[in-house]
Amino acid sequence: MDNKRITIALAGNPNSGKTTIFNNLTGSRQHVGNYPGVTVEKKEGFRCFKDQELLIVDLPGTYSLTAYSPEEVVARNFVVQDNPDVVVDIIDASNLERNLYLATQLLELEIPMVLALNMADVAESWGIKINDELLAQKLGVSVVRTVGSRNQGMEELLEIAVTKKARSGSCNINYGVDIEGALEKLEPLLAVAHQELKFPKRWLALKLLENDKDIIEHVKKISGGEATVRTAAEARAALQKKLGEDPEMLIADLRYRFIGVLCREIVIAKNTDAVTISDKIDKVLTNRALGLPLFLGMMWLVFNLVFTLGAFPQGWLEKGVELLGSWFGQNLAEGDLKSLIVDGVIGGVGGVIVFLPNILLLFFAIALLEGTGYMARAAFIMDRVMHKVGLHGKSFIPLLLGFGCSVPAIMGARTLENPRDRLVTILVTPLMSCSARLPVYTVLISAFFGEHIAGNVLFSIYLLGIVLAIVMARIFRSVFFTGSTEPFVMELPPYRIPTLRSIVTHMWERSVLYVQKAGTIILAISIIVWFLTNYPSEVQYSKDYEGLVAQSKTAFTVQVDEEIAQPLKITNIEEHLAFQAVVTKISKVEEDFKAKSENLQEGSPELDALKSEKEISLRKIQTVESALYGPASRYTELKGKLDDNKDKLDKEQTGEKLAQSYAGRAGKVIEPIIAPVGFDWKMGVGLFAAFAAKEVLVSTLGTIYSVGAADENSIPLKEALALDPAFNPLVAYSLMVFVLIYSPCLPTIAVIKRETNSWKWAIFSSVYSTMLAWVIAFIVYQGGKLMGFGG
Amino acid sequence: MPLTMANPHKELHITAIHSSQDMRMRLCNMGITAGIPVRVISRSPSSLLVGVRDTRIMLDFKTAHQIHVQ
Repeated sequence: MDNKRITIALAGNPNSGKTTIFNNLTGSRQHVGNYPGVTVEKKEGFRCFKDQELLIVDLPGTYSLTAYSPEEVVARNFVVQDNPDVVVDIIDASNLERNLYLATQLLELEIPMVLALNMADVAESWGIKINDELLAQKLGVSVVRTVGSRNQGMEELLEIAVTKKARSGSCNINYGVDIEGALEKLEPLLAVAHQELKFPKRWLALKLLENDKDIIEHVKKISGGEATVRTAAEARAALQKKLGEDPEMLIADLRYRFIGVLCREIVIAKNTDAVTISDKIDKVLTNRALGLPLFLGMMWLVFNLVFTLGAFPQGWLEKGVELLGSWFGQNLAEGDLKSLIVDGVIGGVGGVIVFLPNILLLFFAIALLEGTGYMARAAFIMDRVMHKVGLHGKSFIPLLLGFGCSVPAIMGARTLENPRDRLVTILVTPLMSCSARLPVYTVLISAFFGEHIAGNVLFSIYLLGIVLAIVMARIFRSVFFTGSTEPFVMELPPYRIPTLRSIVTHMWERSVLYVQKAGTIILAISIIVWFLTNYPSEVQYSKDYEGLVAQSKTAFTVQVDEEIAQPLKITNIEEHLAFQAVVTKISKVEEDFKAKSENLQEGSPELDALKSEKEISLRKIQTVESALYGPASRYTELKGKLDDNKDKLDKEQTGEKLAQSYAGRAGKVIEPIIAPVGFDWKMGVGLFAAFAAKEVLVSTLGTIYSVGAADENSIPLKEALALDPAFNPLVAYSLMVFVLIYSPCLPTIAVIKRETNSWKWAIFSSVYSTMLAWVIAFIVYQGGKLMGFGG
Repeated sequence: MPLTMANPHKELHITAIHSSQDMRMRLCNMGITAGIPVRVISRSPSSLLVGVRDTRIMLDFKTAHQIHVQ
């Protein structure tokens, strides 16, 4: 057994399950790049099997091997010129005829092949029985039954590759007397071309008769090629005249005829009723009247679910982060390092990590919609709307992916052949609120909006994004990129029940990326923001804070002495055990009350009930400690006032320090620009930092607001925001709108540059969206104020 | 008649495709050729969803209009 690396190429139709099989075979050892000279993605992976090193190449999914798309040309070139040891053609068993169309073309390339009869389970459930042995016999290649979604059949495929049992098979299609005659004449002329281009002579001859632009070009470049091409053109014309149809069409027809005969022989049973279950579901889901409302309803359901289900684990994570913060807070010495770790790192990264549950749920929902096939229907349902703005339903799928992340969504726009459609789609995709913005919305919504309308507020933001995307698409289409709509053809896969495994895999991939992002970009930015908000550290204060705090402490001591210690004849009241014990009991009751009554409304029955409970508890203490109760109560009151005063002064002091830090000064500079939309400098700093990654807004605010809490237990960000007088529900909504619309994050801008091949469009997308964000936030904020919504 | 005027869910046959050569080949690659059965699953003013050869294809209205059936 030689140890040379074995190359396996995977070919097949889109939607045939090729990617799943590729993932099964390669696990996480994958690498994505580009084929040289074209924008076609090159996916490779590695695998060890029985002591052999395997290179697995996932060729682009194609329906055919013509020259009409770069994907097809890349696939056929690779198969013939890169010499893979075996080509596995993945066939969707539930869609045999069309999948065999590609198979016959691959067979004509005369390379070692194996057929993977995939989705065998689906076919069986539809009552389709295929005689794979007969198929193998007829085509001269091995046939392996696979169920990619359940990881079945993979070993057999690898076995054949490793033991080099793949044969090159043949399909021996007889194209009829006339065409076969023409082929016979052309083949001898193609000997040199065969040497140079590696394609079989018969195949080259066929391509010339089909007027394949790519092959014609290459043959022309070879010596004698021009003459050959001319001969072929003459033969084409003759065939056209004699048979009354373009040879390309004739050849295609004959291929299908061959396949039809083949299928009749190998398909034993077929329950056509079962096939139409998908149709029945489609009748409802793509119904002219019901389709759109059902789709919107589905989206609304998803968002509410993400928010409500995600709240529970989110709460636990919040507690966890809090504990971590306090542990570090108590165990590190005072100083910059402690502040960096507690405020910068834990405040920043922690602020974003707590949203992992929501993100997971969102990606779960997207994976579920994709897996069942409903996503593709969304393209059909939204086509009407897309058409009105000059795009078509195909553009909607990248937009829908944008709900997860703009980066893969914009790359998904490659499926749009028309460059104008592609550009418009790329420019509006960032308006589809990505998952990075979800933490921002969640924090702001839970801080300022009640539980019962939270889901609706979230939905309204997403809806605004969709509406704006559609409106901007319309504007771009009519102002910048005019022209009629392109025709399009798109296959919709059948509805299927996705395996839990595939959905979880999708979800896992995405969440790993999220955590990675948190660990790198967000960590880096959090540290930078911490630095910018804590320096310069020598600040000129407007008041002598330390003096004031000392003053109020002295006043407290004097008052306590006068009112309590002297009458009771206690010398050291702080160390008087009995007294302090009573104080502790009273404080506990007060604290309990405060904690439980936090979210209750004034005048509500629950609040009144808690109040009476508190009174009862206090009475109990009074009866037990009648002598000390009165003074202890007064002591608690005075201590409370002292603490409150200290808190107030602390907050003022840190506020001033913050305002004079680098970040604060930067924020103040842009404050006049953002004030009309309701923001202050703190939000300005956040928006600026979020340019790198939208989640950073949350971590930046986390760092800014916990700057004042380095000593006490850090409170969750949402509480800190709610306490800030600069914030109210209207400001929060305006901020969410701004975050929704303004410049895409840095990675997205980079992708836009890559996909459009110009910095012009990348910068344009950043500028136009920021301006649009300002305008819309302005309307929301000022309009809201006029209507009296300001807090 | 053109496919766009066909009633949904009726099984029809494609008689001719009056598109450009390019479009006809694209349709052919997807499985849509003259002579085969076809049925309309759903339709909207801008596109059609049709079933051919065990699969379902979405077509823009103009292209669907060029496909004749009976």
